[in-house]
Amino acid sequence: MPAEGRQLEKLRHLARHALESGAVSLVIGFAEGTVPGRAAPLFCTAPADADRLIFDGYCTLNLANYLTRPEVRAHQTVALVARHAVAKAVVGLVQESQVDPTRVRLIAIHCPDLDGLQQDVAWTVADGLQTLDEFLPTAAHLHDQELTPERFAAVAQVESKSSHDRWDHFAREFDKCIKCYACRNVCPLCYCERCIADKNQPQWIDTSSTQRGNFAWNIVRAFHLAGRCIDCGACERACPMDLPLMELNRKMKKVVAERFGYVAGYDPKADLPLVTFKKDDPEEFIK
Amino acid sequence: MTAPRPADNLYLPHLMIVDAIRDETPDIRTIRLRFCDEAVGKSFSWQSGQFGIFGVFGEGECPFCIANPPTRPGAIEFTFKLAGRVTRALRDLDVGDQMGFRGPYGRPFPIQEKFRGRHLVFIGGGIGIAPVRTVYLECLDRRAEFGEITILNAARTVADLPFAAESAELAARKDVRLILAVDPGGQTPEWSGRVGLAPAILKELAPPAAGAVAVVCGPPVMIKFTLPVLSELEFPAENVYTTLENRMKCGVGKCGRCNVGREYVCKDGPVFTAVQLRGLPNDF
Amino acid sequence: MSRLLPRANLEGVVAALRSAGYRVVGPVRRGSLVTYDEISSAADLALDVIITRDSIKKFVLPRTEVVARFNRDAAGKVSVLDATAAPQPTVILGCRPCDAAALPIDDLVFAWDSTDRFWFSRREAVRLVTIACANCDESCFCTSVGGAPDSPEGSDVLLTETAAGDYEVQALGERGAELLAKFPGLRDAPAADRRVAAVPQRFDLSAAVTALEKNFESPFWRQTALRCVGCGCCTFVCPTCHCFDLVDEGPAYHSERRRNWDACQMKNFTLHASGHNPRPWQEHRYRQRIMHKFLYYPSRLGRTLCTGCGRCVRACPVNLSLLQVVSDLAAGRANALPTSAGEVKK
Ligand SMILES: Cc1cc2nc3c(=O)[nH]c(=O)nc-3n(C[C@H](O)[C@H](O)[C@H](O)COP(=O)(O)OP(=O)(O)OC[C@H]3O[C@@H](n4cnc5c(N)ncnc54)[C@H](O)[C@@H]3O)c2cc1C
Ligand code: SF4
Ligand code: SF4
Ligand code: SF4
Ligand code: SF4
Ligand code: FES
Repeated sequence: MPAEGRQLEKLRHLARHALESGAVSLVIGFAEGTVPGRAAPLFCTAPADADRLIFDGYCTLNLANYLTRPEVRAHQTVALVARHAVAKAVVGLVQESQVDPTRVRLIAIHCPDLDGLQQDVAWTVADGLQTLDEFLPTAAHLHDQELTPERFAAVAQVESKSSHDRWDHFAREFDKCIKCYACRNVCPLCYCERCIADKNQPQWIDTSSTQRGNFAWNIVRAFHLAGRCIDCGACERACPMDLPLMELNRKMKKVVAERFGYVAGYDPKADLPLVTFKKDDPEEFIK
Repeated sequence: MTAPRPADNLYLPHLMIVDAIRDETPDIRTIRLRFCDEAVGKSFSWQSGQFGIFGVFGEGECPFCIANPPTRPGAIEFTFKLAGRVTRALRDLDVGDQMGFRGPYGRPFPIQEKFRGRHLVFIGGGIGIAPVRTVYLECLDRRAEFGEITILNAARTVADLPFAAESAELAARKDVRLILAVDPGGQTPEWSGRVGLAPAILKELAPPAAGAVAVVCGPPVMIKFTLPVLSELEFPAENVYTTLENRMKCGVGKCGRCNVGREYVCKDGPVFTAVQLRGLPNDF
Repeated sequence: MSRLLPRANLEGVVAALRSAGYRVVGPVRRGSLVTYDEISSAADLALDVIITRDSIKKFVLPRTEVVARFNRDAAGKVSVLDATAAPQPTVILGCRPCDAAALPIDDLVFAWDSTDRFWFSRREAVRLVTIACANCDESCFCTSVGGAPDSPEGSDVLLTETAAGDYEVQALGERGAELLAKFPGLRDAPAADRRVAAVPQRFDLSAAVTALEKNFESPFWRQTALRCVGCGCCTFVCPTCHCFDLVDEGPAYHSERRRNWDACQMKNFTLHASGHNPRPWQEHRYRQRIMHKFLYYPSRLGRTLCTGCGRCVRACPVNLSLLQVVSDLAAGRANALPTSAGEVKK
């Protein structure tokens, strides 16, 4: 059996066993999708469901997004088929008190960062069901790779533009936005029960897909995720109009790393940089 | 400027002027409007049960039933409860201010065809009394055409009962039986009306049911518990009417927001019989 | 004999239409994205794609449009101004049959007892020069909902590719004939082999409708929609979805009432001010989408509200394929549920 096949057997076995033993009542993973580039989230509640699980380079959706769904919260304990980005989102959700870590288990997948462009990737699955605490040490070394220049190539390109060209660039990109909110709805950290975009008293963001409404939405979304976005790319891949949302998210990530020395997704106990008051803040923006 | 012609543009409101404002309860208010263009006002007609889309310029629009029956023409009235953005803006209007109105929309109560010659029972809970009141006002204006008239107006507390002055007048009339009721705990020491929930009081009242017509509007829970009581009292289901309230935008069957199954509340309703209600999927 | 437009003359067609005063739009590639956009030359056309990401809907029902303006003068007096829609005459060149077919279907709702002037004035200004599909992919299902890859429905001119790569042209109705008269370089030619995709029949529509009639209440909806994230992707790329919101925006002295695309999949769609939501869970909202397209709309207005373009299937970020769901319904899977996949205890 080829290596991937053995890993798949192991993945299915772990999921099946987790359900059979009663360790969890739900396993969320992926099944084969119906179109190239997409895998379908699969909710397994019976051991036999595990036989439909797959993993490949198209499994880019961030499954941690489902943890805050009421239908999923109804389960005592839930296991996620979790590549690193999913686990990072769980860290964020625990850190923000949205998810109780004792009720989540990970079936950890080790693989390179997925960009959704190719189906074949090398991956392995961890030996057993893990709690977040058990998982974290196995991924701690990845922290060093979060800020490599390659990751910020697109950001650097935008930064190199004149402010005028930069405006044009974003005006052109934001103009494509049709306000479908797929970016928000697939984001594990966009969990607000009532999003600022849906509030009308006051109406913070014009709901119309005009230049004003689109700028407001795209910028506010990115700002609300500053220091919280775990760089999974789910939003950008969900966008039906191919907006380069990661340019914004990674710029935020870069600024937060430079200013606060912080990268989201590694420490569930860390203070969130943008909501923590520090007496020694330089506060240079207040003149 | 040429006068706008709403007929061409379904979404263009008539320009209206606030003529009078009356507070009914701390959060329920009635506004009386007249058409800026008197000619439009003169030719405007509607029937009890139809609704309009009322708007504050720059804030938005929302649907309310037209509160004055066609037997009381010359103005457009609506009674609304503070709920969100538009209702808040409506509360900021003063006499003389302008606002928008388009309508009438929806199907009315079939007073002419189905109500005449019958005993009538009206049951309203909370702001649900608004559409019910339009119908009983019309029936009272045409009093001779109907049998016994019973009105049950229920609210959470005494302070939440709207139309107090009008109720006092009705209570004094011999040709109508008015019952005011508040939820347990909602009464004041001076309260002389009933205390209890609308379905239970209705059961006690046991108004004449043979061939009678009932109109019930109120919060979903009230409707849910009142309909069985009416059927227990042997009101024929095809004579029991209610209005449905779904979120609406266009009012004319285009925006796709108000349907319950195949029925569009804005076109096929808002008035439905209990028989029709039974045929609807559980999606409201 | 048939009329033939040599492929090389496409450029002449674009030029002729532009000089006749039309804005010419067609599938245009911008990076990874192919959308309908204005072109100035046939070279801008991306005719090799199966289908564009967005539909032609935006030319008749823009994602945002002003329906009324309210001006307030210094004394506070308001004037209500009609938003005059004077749409630009537009030719959509390289429209797909499943896009063209959507317009007559939506005409029904926009003319339902009252006439939506905005829709119909744009509709009047738009001409469709459709190119029959020579290729299809796994998400195309026009033939399952009464369409065809070379269907003329809704089009003014239909172009069908020949084996040699030229186009056989067919004018439809008076509007089509008028438009075709502007095409330079047409010639008569013996009927040639046409390149038309073979789109398999993927489900039995009437079986799906029967299943919907029986399954308003069914665990099928929860199983199916558990993964749905409730965005507007599917409805916004859909050529037939027509739901809209009306909102007031803009400065207090010059506010506008705008009509914006809206989607039954979003939880705010039916949320009452009181907090009551008639469709509280995603399964209810997803059910509305399927029911509306395949049961309610046809039963009220006589046509299925789907042309099988497959856009929603391709665009869904969680691969909740409408094609799969309707196929499941048609196959009776809602009646006899398989494993407990997706079932969640409450
Ligand atoms: C046919 C009909 C008749 C009605 N008659 C009355 C009446 O006589 N008196 C009264 O007080 N209320 C009535 N309502 C309810 C009233 O329309 C809502 O309370 C009102 O729309 C709340 O608007 P808002 O802007 O203050 O709230 P927001 O929460 O700010 O709502 C934003 C928008 O959502 C829509 N909306 C929200 N809730 C509702 C709702 N329950 N029904 C319809 N649309 C809604 C409106 O378009 C509104 O502008 C009626 C509703 C319908 C459908
Ligand atoms: S903003 Fe985008 S990249 Fe960041 S966590 Fe959300 S989905 Fe992932
Ligand atoms: S997913 Fe894309 S098109 Fe949709 S709202 Fe987000 S940025 Fe706009
Ligand atoms: S529902 Fe899907 S397949 Fe049908 S017309 Fe709309 S986008 Fe196309
Ligand atoms: S599927 Fe939903 S958004 Fe589309 S037309 Fe039907 S109700 Fe409207
Ligand atoms: S309110 Fe728009 S369809 Fe009924």
